[in-house]
Amino acid sequence: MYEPGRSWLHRADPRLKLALAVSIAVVLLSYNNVVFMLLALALTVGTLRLAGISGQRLKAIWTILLPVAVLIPVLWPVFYHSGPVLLTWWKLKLTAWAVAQGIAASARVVTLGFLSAAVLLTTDMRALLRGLVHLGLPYQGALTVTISISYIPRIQRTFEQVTEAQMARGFDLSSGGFLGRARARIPVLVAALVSTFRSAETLSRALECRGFGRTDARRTSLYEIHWRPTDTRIAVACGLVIVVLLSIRFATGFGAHPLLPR
Amino acid sequence: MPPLLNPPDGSAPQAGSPQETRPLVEITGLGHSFPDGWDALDGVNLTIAAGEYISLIGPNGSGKTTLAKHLNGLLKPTVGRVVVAGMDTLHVSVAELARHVGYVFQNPDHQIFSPSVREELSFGPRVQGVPPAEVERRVEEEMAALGLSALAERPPAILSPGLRRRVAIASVLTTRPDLLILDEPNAGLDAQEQEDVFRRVAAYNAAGHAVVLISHDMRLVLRWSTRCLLLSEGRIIADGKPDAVLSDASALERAGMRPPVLARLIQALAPYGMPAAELTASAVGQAYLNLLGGPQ
Repeated sequence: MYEPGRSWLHRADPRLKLALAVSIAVVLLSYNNVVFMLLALALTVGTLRLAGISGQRLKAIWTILLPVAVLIPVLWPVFYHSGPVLLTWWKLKLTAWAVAQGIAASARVVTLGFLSAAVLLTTDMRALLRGLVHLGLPYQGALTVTISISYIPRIQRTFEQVTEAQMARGFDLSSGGFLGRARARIPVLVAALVSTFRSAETLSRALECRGFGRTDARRTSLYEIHWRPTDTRIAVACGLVIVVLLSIRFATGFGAHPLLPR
Repeated sequence: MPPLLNPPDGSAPQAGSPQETRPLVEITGLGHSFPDGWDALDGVNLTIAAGEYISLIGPNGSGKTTLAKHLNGLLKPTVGRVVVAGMDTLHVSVAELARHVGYVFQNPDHQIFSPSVREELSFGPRVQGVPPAEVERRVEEEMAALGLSALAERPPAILSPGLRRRVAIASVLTTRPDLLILDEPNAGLDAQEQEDVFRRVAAYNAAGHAVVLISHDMRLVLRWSTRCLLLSEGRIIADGKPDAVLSDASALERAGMRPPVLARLIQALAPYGMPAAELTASAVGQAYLNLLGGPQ
């Protein structure tokens, strides 16, 4: 998933990026205000664009997030009925707060998606691996995490290839009702899972053959990461903003309501 | 729409019938650009007649698989036109084209999903609406031809790579396509398995069905195909009999390839009067003996 570049986000230490992503996620989960959430989304996407991530790549991520982004605001009014009523239809009551809360929740999920993408798109897997190890994760665990992330595009490709193979045998995956189409996916799902498990097994054996899992010798690293003074400056600046935002939220109650300031 | 090349009862066109002369595939000015801007195919013109056995060769990335995927509509032309069995692939679904074009993918695991070999082989014809009795007949025939009968009730996913490959090929053959595409079908097959598979494909071809073989194995290309297309950077740079194409050193060099060792031997001996010969050990050996004035 990594898209090489020389932006400040690319050059930042992976530990800093992980810490920032977690802290920002905490802020996002603390706030409910729709305006705040939309601003956070715009800021995240803007930062990724400024970091040189192509619009095409951002569009691809947006396509993955789209079903969830649409489903949340659609379903929210079904379960949330507080606030001024905008519309009543059959047994459904659409309130202003439900609409705002739905949009805010949707924007939060999408922002969290782009936030994770910000780490993965701007961090070389070797750097992320070293970052996780320096944060205290055992090497085996860190490697498992980074390999899993690296495999996402590969699994996606496997699904595409399996879909093509089943279509080539005459299976129509695009027509029929929802249930029919879901049933039509079974051959794709089974073949893709078998294929993925098989390659996972092959990979684990290949790693073992290359000495992975040896514990009788101290592991050295060809690739190393270094914390720079710029990382400290970014950490301080962002840390201050995050502390201020959390203080405002919990000291004044600002941002707790989906539509009103407090 | 012109009459279908594959009769609805699944029988093969008869050798010598007028259908053999009608092109099965007509490709004109085909170009394909992927969304990332890569021009995988450029200005490809090609006609495939029923009953031809064509090999597609060329280095990785030359456009072999991209061209083959246009034949069953998995890829649509960004420029030009592809007509298969009288249908413009731009306007018909892959499912519809699958009635005429069978595609055996490089990785058999991408198509195997059924709980038994028998069900895997019957999947294709069943979704195409072939009557159950005919499905059963085809399944038995292909299992017998490819040595799978004893494994009929076994789950194909746990078979050896060679057997999975055979299941994948058999499961496409049961759809009785007018055009059978084999993308690197020999990977994972031992010599005897290769022989069994290619004999079955040759018999299928002899019954009047066209075959397109994508391969890096020049021995297979020379032994089985009757026409060879050499691709380089998305263009067909040589089209002819396999012996001729694989002896065309300049075309092969343009594609970053070397002629097979027998072609190089003939080339090396050409200044001494070695004539052109079929690229088989016996033909080249005989030509060499002739050159020496030895026994005929």
